[in-house]
Amino acid sequence: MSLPTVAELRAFAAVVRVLGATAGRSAFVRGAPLYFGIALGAAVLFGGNGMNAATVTDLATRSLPFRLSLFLAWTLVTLPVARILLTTPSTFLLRALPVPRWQHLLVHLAHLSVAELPFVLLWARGGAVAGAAAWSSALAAHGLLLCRPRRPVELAALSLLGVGLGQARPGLLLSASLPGLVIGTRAAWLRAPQREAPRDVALVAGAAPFALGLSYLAGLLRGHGALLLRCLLYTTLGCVITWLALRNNGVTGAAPTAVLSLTLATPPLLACAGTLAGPVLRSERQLRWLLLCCGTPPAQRVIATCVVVATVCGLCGAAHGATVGYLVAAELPLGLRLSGGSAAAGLLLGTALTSGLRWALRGDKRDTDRAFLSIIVAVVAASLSAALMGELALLLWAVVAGLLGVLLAPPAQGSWEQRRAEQAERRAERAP
Amino acid sequence: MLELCGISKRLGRRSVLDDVSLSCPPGEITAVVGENGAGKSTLLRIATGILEPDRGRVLVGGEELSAGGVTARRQLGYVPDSSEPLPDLMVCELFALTAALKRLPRPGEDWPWIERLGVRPIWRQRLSTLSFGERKRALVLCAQLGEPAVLVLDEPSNGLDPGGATLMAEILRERARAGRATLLASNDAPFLAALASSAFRLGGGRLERCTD
Repeated sequence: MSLPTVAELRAFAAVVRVLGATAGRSAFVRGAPLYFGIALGAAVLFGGNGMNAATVTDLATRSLPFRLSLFLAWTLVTLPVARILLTTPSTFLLRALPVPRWQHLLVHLAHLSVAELPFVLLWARGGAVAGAAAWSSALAAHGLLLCRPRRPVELAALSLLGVGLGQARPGLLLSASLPGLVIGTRAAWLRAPQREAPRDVALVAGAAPFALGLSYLAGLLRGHGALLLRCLLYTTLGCVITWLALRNNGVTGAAPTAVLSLTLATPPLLACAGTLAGPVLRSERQLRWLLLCCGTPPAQRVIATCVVVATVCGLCGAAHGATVGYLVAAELPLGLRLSGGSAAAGLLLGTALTSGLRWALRGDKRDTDRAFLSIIVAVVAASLSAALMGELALLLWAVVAGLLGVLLAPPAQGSWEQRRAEQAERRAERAP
Repeated sequence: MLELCGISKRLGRRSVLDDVSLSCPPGEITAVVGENGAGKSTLLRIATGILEPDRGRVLVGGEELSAGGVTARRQLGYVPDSSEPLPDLMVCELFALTAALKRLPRPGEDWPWIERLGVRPIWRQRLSTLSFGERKRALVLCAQLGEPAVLVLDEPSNGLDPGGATLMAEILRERARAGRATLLASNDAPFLAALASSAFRLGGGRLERCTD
């Protein structure tokens, strides 16, 4: 085997650069808020006098349900990032060029490894083999999920991964997941450009704002299932934290329970809203030409986007309140109060944050900064107001949601939206 | 009828349209030709109200289009060249959405245009799974909703198979016979030669009538 020539190394460097600038950049934009949240959560959990990472990995080694929950949570939460890394359409052109397949796969594996880093680091505290097993199993799970296994060898690799996850010894998991890593990543990469025609039920009907909202909902259900699952995870996490806070602080009585539940429901509900508002607002941007062509009033555009996000957040809120009520064995009136309060919080915070993110997501390089800022401001302001004002904060949020909806509605000529349309126009006119 | 009066538009530092006026009378097919990047698509997007001009007015049936004129927009249909509206929507859902946005009653699945445009086999398919030509057929179907008085098409023959291009030409001729106005941008010379009542060349921001 001969050493690679300078020209071959240069070609490989170009592949690294191109895949980094396309798939890597898109994944960074999508995943940055998620990883920021994970870093924040890890700092709270493991920082200072907090928990030791080894405690978590020891518990996971001993308890199968905890280990599986941790693995599933990580796999589902980071699935959108893995999907972008492996299936970004702008990378497909590179496949037509004389680039060896192993170079593509190597760069994709490197990108995916960076995406799995927090999970690997957590497990690496339990030993190098545990870290390697976490790396291999997470990559295998993402590859196998994204390739939609159908060939016997893929189904066998998936089964083997399942068996490996049932084992407490990391060495066994590492051996069981390596075939899935190789087969799954390769199959996911190969199938990325395939367009399959799934069978769907038609959802869009009714008058303009309703039909528009249902279009966004259809987009969420069909193209962003992982994001909806992520919302479910945020809600579950919120329930557990609220229950622990109520139990460990010995909170009793209806009013203090309701206030603490509402306060601790706000961060996960805002995380849900932030997760869903991005794709909904992107869908609205894709439909801009049709909306303008048909003269759709700005109010209808605002209502359609906000209603979709707020409805899902409201459902998450209702589930949060009901679960907390169940966990603390609340009487029916308190259960209804908790559920109703959190549902209203979900509706109002979903509406407010969607409007805030409409201002933040303008399709330029500073989108992520502005989105971060909006979400952080919203989390701090909402949590503080809930802690200080209790359920009265709902009134404040209603006013804020209404004001933001009006002030940040799709603006007219001369605004940033028009400028963005003109930038797109310039790019289109320059295109061959 | 569609009228563009003294339209000027700068994109960044480049003047794309400079005092352009154009009239698309009823019963005629007006074509705009020009090199890549000449500003044809920009002109069409201004004509449909997607982009606001820096100066000038757009009138559809005598109604002002700028500043969100809904009455004017109800008389318009637009077929973009490359837009992919919500890739996760099915064709029937895009159809229902367009009907709702145009505030029109949604025709049933036996609407003759569905069969005629060959959309029936892809009726329940997601837009992301369609070919470029199939997507174009779906967009033409949506633009035909309400049989608009003015139809604006960007590169209508682009991506269509020979049968599709012939069908498109036939549809546009029928519209002209029915006294409806059509504005299209294309560089497909044989297609335009067989169709256009009048043609204009766009270059350097100016619009000139083609004599050849």
